[in-house]
Amino acid sequence: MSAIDNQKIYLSRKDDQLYLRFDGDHESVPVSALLAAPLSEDRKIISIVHKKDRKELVLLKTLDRLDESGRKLLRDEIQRRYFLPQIEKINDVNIHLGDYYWDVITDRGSRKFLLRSPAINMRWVGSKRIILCDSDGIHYDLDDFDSLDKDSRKLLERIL
Amino acid sequence: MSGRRIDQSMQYQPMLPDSVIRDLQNHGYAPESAEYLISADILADGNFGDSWMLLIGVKLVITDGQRVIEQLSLSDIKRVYIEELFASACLKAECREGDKCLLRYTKSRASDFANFCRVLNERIATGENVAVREEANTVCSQCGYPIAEKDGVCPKCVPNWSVLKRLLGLMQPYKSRLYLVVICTFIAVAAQMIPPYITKRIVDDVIIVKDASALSLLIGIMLLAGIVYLSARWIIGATSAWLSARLISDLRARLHLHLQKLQLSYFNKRSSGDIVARVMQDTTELQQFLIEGLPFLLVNGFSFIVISVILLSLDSGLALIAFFPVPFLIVGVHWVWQRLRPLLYKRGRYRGEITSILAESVRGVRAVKAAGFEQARADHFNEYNEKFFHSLRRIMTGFVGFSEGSYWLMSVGVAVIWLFASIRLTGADDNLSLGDLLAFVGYIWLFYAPLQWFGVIMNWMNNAFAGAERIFSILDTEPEMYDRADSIQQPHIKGEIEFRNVHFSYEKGKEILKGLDFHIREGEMIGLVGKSGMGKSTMINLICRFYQPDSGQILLDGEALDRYRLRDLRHAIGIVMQDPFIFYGSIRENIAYGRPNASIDQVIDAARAAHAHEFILDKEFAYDTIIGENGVELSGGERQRITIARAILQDPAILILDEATSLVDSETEQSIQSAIDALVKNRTTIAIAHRLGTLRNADRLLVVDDGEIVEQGTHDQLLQSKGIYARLVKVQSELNELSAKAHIA
Ligand SMILES: Nc1ncnc2c1ncn2[C@@H]1O[C@H](COP(=O)(O)OP(=O)(O)O)[C@@H](O)[C@H]1O
Ligand SMILES: [Mg+2]
Repeated sequence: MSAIDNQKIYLSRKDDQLYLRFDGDHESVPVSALLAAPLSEDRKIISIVHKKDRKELVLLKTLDRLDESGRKLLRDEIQRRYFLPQIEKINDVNIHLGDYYWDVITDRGSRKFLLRSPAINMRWVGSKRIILCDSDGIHYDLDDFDSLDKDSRKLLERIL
Repeated sequence: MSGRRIDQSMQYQPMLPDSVIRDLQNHGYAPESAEYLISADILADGNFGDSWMLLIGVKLVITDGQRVIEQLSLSDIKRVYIEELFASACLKAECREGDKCLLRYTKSRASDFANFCRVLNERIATGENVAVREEANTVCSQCGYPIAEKDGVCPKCVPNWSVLKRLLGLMQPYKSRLYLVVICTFIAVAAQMIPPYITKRIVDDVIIVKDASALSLLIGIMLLAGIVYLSARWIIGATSAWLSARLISDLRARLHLHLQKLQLSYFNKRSSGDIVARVMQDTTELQQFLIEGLPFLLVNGFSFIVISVILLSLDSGLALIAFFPVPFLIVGVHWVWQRLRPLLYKRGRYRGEITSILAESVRGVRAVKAAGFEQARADHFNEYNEKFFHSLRRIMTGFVGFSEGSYWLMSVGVAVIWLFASIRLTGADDNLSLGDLLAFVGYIWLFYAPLQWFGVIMNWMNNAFAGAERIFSILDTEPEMYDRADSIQQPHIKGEIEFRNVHFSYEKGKEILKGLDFHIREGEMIGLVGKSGMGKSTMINLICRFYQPDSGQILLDGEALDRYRLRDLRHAIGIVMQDPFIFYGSIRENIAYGRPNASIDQVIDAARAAHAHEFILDKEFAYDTIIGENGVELSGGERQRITIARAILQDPAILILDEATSLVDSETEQSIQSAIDALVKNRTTIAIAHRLGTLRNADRLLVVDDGEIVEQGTHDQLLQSKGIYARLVKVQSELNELSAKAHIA
């Protein structure tokens, strides 16, 4: 399977599985869509790899090579694969024994979680965004905390 | 919350909400007859939320709390498998008409699902029930947060006094000194109460009545009280310093010992910086609090009570006025402290940042210079340095304002006392003398002064206790199992090893070894082959009992591995690892690590055999050269040869070479190889090597692929069978040819 730049590609979905076909090819192959930088790059750079041997078939820096339905499928697949709740409100956060206890509302529902070793597990991306990683390895995205409500900001300021 | 087999109908009841049970019943299912039940924490739409899957009869039923969303027959499912996603995963079923997502869950459920998946597949394949292992509860029932350590106690919900009790318990051996501190506290407080009282006597009995007869006695008592006070404080200070230093040294020693006895998995989950910080910072913080804070609390807390009583008995009216500013002081202190504390956190964070940038710049100075990063590093450093400066400035301003402000409040209190007392004195109130007033003011200053610090010290105490609890949580972590009651005494280990259906994972849910079965005879040389990351080193970790298998058995000489005492086991195993461990000390000590009383002759013989002798002689201090962190730098190959020499000297029953020569050049490797060949004779050897040529002498090769043994046999047999091994050999010989050509050209 060859990948000439700008060659159109087509995505389809069957039974929860994404398939890729290059323009001109007959056969579709099962693929996974992976983000090159899931935490920092606004989910723009997407690598499509073969489902079985994990070899990269195409690296997308934009969605230009896809048609409208392909773009939607890809966005849905990324949304499904990347479980990265966005924190929308902070109900409470306190520090006990150097561990941080968070009680938050995210775009995926509310959650209480525990964050240990803050030096490692609170990662700054730029100056306004933090990625939190809890004790189970689930990441939470705290994007642009100027847009949070006043109470949340106050709680944040107390610990940052 | 877990996947579990239901033996009695009672067990499942608390796990399923009533609405779900009713809904299931409406669909004609009897939830109490379910064989398995597992709960997931992500809904089909990708949001957090509970859903459940039950195996009832031959049906898999999935419900999301609202309604039943899926019903599948086991006979329609070929197998179930897990699709790993980002921070989450999906349990999928391979059905005839295509794959289906059954449940989605976050990493926190991974281990439950890994088990469940295995069990369900066995059930599908054999039609028989298999028991599910239960996981410990990981959410605190009191506060609802996940529990930090997996031993089941939520550190957040443990009260302060229990920490204090434990600290006192540790002081038990030094009880007499503790009593001394308490007694001296009484003495100091008593002595502190004397001078204002003497002032009163001097004014009333000497100055006012103009009679100097008692003066020298009074002055004498005053001076004496001063001396007693000083001596008592000095004894308190010295003794509590001794006590806390003693206590902390004991704690550190216990921590250090305990840390080394912990399972390796403990260290997997934590950064080493974190652990070192706990041992050093937390103990230091605790020590400082015990030296300065605790005596302060003791003395001032006690004198606070005594002075209150004295003030009230001197003149209850004035006493009430004096108490008036107290609530303001306390509230004020609290208010200021609330605002200062975040600044203190910030300061700590910036200081940490500065330290690590500095350390990185120094350590990586070569790389920084090479890439011309000096300015960027400097900017980076300056940014945090400035932030640090600003937080420091704000803290300092805050502190000054804080102590001046509280001083002002106290002065107001004193001024009001003067005001009311003077009115009463000039109005010729017989109950109040000038001496009373002066004594009163004297006591008041004693009374107010410590108040402003109480809040600060209490906070300090909280921090110190938090540190203490972190220390205790390490001490409470269960150590590696060293000996069992039925340990084999003084075994003669021959080196026969057997794996029986061994499963293992470092992180829950991500299985690395997937059911290993093999047998190594005594004295056999085995080569482990496979791509990197396939689990070869992990097998070694299990043989050394660095980790315990999740299931299955490992036998040594026909006995379960954990029936050997750890000391005996590790003495019988000589291991040369991928990343050789060198500790701080001389080369000689490093080689003689496993046999500290080896003679220099023996050390040299071992070094010779490992082809380390010559490069060692080249060092200025030869065998006495200090290596390890801060010592003389060795190349990777040199370090490896030192560890090979160490293994040779140890003369173990089982020798493990985990890419032991991966860091030396091919030429040296060949010469070491002859030493290793000699070493391998008459002992069980397990060798892992990248360059397959070095394994030609192996009696048998085991090919490991993705946690399973996929081929085994001699080099020639495996070549003939044209499997994975044959392919690996082919790739390597092509590479060799390439490099040979490159050399010629
Ligand atoms: N301490 C550890 N914690 C978590 N995962 C580990 C650890 N050590 C190894 N692994 C993982 O286990 C797998 C097998 O590793 P390993 O046994 O070292 O492979 P090999 O020695 O065959 O190259 C790899 O995917 C690796 O990432
Ligand atoms: Mg390895």
